[in-house]
Amino acid sequence: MLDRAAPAATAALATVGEVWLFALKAVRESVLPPFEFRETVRQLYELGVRSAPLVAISGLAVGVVLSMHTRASLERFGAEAMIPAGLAIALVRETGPLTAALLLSGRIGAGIGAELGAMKVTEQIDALEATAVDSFRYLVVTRVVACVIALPILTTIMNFAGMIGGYLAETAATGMSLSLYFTSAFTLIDMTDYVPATIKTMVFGFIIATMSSYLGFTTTSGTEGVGRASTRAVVLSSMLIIVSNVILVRLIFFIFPEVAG
Amino acid sequence: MTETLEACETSARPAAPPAIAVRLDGVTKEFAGRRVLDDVSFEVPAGRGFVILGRSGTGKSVTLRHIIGLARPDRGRVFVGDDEISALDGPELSRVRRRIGFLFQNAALFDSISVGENVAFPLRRHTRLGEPEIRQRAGDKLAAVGLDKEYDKMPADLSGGMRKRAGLARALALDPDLILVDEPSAGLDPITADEIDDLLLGLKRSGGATLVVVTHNIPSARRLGDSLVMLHEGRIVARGSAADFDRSTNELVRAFMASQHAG
Amino acid sequence: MSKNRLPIVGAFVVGGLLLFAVGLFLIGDRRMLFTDTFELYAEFSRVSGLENGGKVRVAGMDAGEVEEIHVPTGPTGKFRLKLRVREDLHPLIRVDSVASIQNDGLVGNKFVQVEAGSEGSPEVPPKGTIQSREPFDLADMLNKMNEAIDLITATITEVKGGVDEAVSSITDTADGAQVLIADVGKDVRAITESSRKATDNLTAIVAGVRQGRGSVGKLLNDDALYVSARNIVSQAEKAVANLREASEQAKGAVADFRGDSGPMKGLAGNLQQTLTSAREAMSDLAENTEALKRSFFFRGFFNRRGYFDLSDVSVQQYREGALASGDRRPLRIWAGAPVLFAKDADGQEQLTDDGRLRLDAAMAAFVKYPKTSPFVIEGYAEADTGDVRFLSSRRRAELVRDYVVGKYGLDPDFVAIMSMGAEADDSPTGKRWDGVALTMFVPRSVS
Ligand SMILES: Nc1ncnc2c1ncn2[C@@H]1O[C@H](COP(=O)(O)OP(=O)(O)OP(=O)(O)O)[C@@H](O)[C@H]1O
Ligand SMILES: [Mg+2]
Repeated sequence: MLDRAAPAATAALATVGEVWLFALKAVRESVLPPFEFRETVRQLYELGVRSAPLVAISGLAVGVVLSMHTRASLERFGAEAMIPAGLAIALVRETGPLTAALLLSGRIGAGIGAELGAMKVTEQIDALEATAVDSFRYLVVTRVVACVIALPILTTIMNFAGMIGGYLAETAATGMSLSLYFTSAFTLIDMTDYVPATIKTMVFGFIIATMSSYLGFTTTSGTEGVGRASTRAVVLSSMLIIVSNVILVRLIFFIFPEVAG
Repeated sequence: MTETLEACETSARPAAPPAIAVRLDGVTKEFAGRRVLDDVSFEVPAGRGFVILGRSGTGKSVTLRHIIGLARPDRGRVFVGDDEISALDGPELSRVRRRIGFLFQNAALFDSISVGENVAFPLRRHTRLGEPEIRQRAGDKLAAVGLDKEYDKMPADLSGGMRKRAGLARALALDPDLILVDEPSAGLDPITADEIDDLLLGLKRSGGATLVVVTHNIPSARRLGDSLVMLHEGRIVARGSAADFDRSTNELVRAFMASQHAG
Repeated sequence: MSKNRLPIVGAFVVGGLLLFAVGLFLIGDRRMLFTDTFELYAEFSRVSGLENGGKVRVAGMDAGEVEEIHVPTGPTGKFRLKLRVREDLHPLIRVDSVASIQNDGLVGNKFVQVEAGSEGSPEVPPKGTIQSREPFDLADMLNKMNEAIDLITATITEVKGGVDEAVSSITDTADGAQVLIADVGKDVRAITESSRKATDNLTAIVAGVRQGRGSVGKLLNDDALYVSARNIVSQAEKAVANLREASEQAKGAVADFRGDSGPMKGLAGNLQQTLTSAREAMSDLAENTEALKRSFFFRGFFNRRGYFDLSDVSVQQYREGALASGDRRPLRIWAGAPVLFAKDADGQEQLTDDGRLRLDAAMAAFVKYPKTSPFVIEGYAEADTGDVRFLSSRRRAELVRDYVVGKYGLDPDFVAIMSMGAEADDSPTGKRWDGVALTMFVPRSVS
C-alpha cells in the first residue's frame, strides 16, 4: 500500500513542479518580446468576445435571482431600499468575479484543453516547431495573455448584466426607475470593493489559460487523452480558482483593510 | 561565429545555394526505459539523397525527429551543417529549422486553417512577402503536388493521400535546403508516387537540396537514395548504395529489396 | 479573416474598459472625486456609530461624506466631524443650519443630516462649524417622557393642595372674591383634566414603545416625530413651571389673606392670570400629546398604504379608496344629521339621545369585526361655504368619534376621522350627504 502510494505522491509532486515551471515560463514569455500580436488578437476574439454572450446572459439571470433573494431577506427588516445596493455590492465584490471565472473555466478551459490536446496528439504542435515557430509562445502565451485581458472585461460585463438583471427584477416588483436603481446601487460600493475584485480576475484568467494549456500540451494517448485533458482542464482550473480566491480575498483585505470592515 | 556564417551564406545564396550535410554521431534514445535508437551514426553529404529503411517501429521517424531537433538524443550528437542541432535552443534552433522542410508521417496539417493557409503559414511567419505573393507561392507549391484546386478546402475534407501531399507542399514552402520526408508516397497511387519522387529529385538536382527520406517503397528508395541505411530495432544493420543493398547477404535487406510492395 | 476580427476585438477591449470606467465613475461620483466640494465641521458628544465615509445629506439630498472624525481629548470634549459637501449645495447651508446624526432606514447606516438654514442668515464659510443636535436616543426620550409624567403628576397634586387651600381661605375671608373663586375653580378643574389627558397619552406612548407597538423603527428615524416628542417634553416642563408658579402665588395669596394685609385683589388677579396661562399650556400639552400618540400608533396601518398618517391623506385620495386594499374593503353605514345632532344654547351642534340610539344601532353591525380594523368616521355637512362645510363636518365626526370610542371601548389607535364636506358619491340620497358615515375597513375574508 505504502510502496504504491509513495511513487504516486512523488509523481504528483513532480507534476506540481512541472505545472509551476510551465506557469513561470508563461509569465516570463508573456512580458518578454517577441509578441504574437495577431494570434493574441485571434485568441481574444475566440476566448473573450465569443464568451461575452454567455457571460451577459448568465449575469442577467444571476442578477434576477440575487435580487429576489436579497428582497426576501431585506423585506423582513423593512430595508427594501437597500436591495440595489446590497445586490451591487454582492455582485461586484465576489459573485460577479467568481461566477464569471467559473463559467469561463468551463467554456475556455475545456476549449483550450481539447484544442491543444488534439494538436498535441496529431503532431500539430510538433509541426509548428518544425516550421520554426515557438509553439509555447504561439499557443500558450497568446492564450494566457488573451485570458488575462478578457477576464476582467468579462467580469465587468457580468457585473453590469447582473445589475441590469437586478433592475429588471426590481422594476417588475416595484416599478423602480433605471436611474434611481443605478444611483442607489452604487451608494455602498467603494473603489476598494470594485477595483481589486475586478483586477483579481486576471489571476483567474491566468490560472484557466495556464492550467488548460499545460494539460493540452501534455496530452498523450489519442482521442481519449484529449477528452481527459479537456475535463481535467475544467476541474483543475475551477478548483484552483476557488482556492486561489481565498488567498486573493485575504490579500485584498490585508492591502485594503477597509474592505473587510 | 554562426551569425557571420549565416550572413555569408545568405549573401552567397543567389550564386550557389548551399546544401547542408547531416551527421548523426552515436545517437542513443530511450523512451520510458525502452531503447528506440541505439548508437546510430551516419552522414549525409550535402546535396545528396539518403534513404532510411526498416520495419515498422524500428525508430525511423524518431531518427528524422532528431535531425530537426523535435527529439533530443540521450547520448550522441546531431549536426545539421555546422550546427549541432541537438544542443541548440530558442532563436538559434529556429534559425536552423527555417532551412529544413519536414513532412510528418501523418502530415500534421493545422486543421483550424485551410489547406492553402497551411502552406502559406511558413511564408507568413518567415518572409516579408505581401499577401498576393504569399497566395501565389502557396498556390504554386500546392500545384507542384497536384493540389491546385484544394487551396480553400479544410484539411479534414481531404483524403489521406491528399493530406500527405499538402503536408509536403507546406514542408517545401520556404524552399528548404534540407528536406526530411517521412514516407512521402505512403497512401499514394504509383503514378502520383512517381510524380512526388520526381519533384523531390528535381529539388535535389537543380536546387541542391539534401534529402533524407523514410520509405518502404523500394523503387522510390532506389531513385532517391544515393546511399541507404537499414534500421532494425534501433540499430543500423546495413548501409551502402542501392547496388550494395542488392548484393547484401543480410536476410532483412534481401527481403526488403525483393519485395514488390510499393507504399 | 483576422482583419475583420481586429475591430471587434478592439471594440471588446475598449468597450470593456469603458464599462469598467463607468463603474469607477459611478463610485467616484458618489465619493465626489469629480465634483467641487467644500469642508464643513460639526461637533457631537456622541457619534452613535457613525464612521468615516458615512454619508452627509443636506436637506435630505445626498451631498457628501464624513471625511474624518477627530476624537476628543477628554470626556467633556466633543467629536469633531469633518464633512465634505458638494459645493452646489453650499447656498443652502447657512450659519443657523443644524447637523444631526441619523439612521438611514431601520438597518441602514448612520448619516449626518444637515438642515437647510433660514433665508436671512449668511452662508456658512468654508471650513466653518455648524450647530449640531445630539443624536436622538429612544431610551433617552422615554426617560424624559417618564420624568415629565412624574413631574406633572406631582405638581398637579401640589397645585391642587395649594389652590384648594387658597380658595378656601378666600372663601373664609373675603366675600367679594366669589367670582374669583368660581373662576379659579374652573381653571383648576380644566388644568387637572388636561394634565390627566396628557399623562394618559404619554403613558400610552411609553407603554406602546416598550411593547414594541407603533412603529419604533419609524420613530427612531423620523425627524418630525422626534421633534414633536421633544417639543412635548419641553412643553411639559414649561407647563410644570407655570403650575409651580401658580402654586407659589396661591400660597402667597393664602398668606396674604391670613395676614389680612396687602392688595388682595392684585394678588388674586395675578393668580388668576397665571392659572389661565397654566391652563392654556396644559391644554396645548394635552392636544399635542394626543396628536403624537395618534400619529405614532397610526403609522403602522397608514404607513403601509404609503401615507405618513391620516392627516396626510387628502379627502380626494380618501374618496378614491386610498385606505382600501386587496385585503380590506370598506363597510359603510350612513347616519343623517337630523337624527344625530341638535344645536345647543351656544348654537353648537351636540349629539342627541336619538342620535346615540342611532349610532348604537349602527355599531351593532361593526362589533363582530376585529377591533384592529381601521375605523374611519366620515363627517358630512351641507353649508353654503366650503370652510363651514369643512368645520362642521369635522365637528360632527369628532362628536361621533368621542361617543363611540368612549362607549364601545374602541382602540383609539385604529379610529380616525375624515372631514368630507358635502359630497358623497354613494350616499343613500345620491350625490350629497348631511350627517356622518361610519366606515370600517374590514378584512375581506370575513363576510
Ligand atoms: N514520444 C514517444 N514516446 C514513447 N515512445 C515513442 C515515442 N516516439 C516513438 N516511440 C516508440 O519508438 C519506437 C520507434 O518509433 P518510430 O515512430 O520511430 O517507428 P517507425 O520506424 O517510424 O515505424 P513506422 O514505420 O511504423 O512509422 C516505437 O516503438 C514507438 O512506440
Ligand atoms: Mg514512422
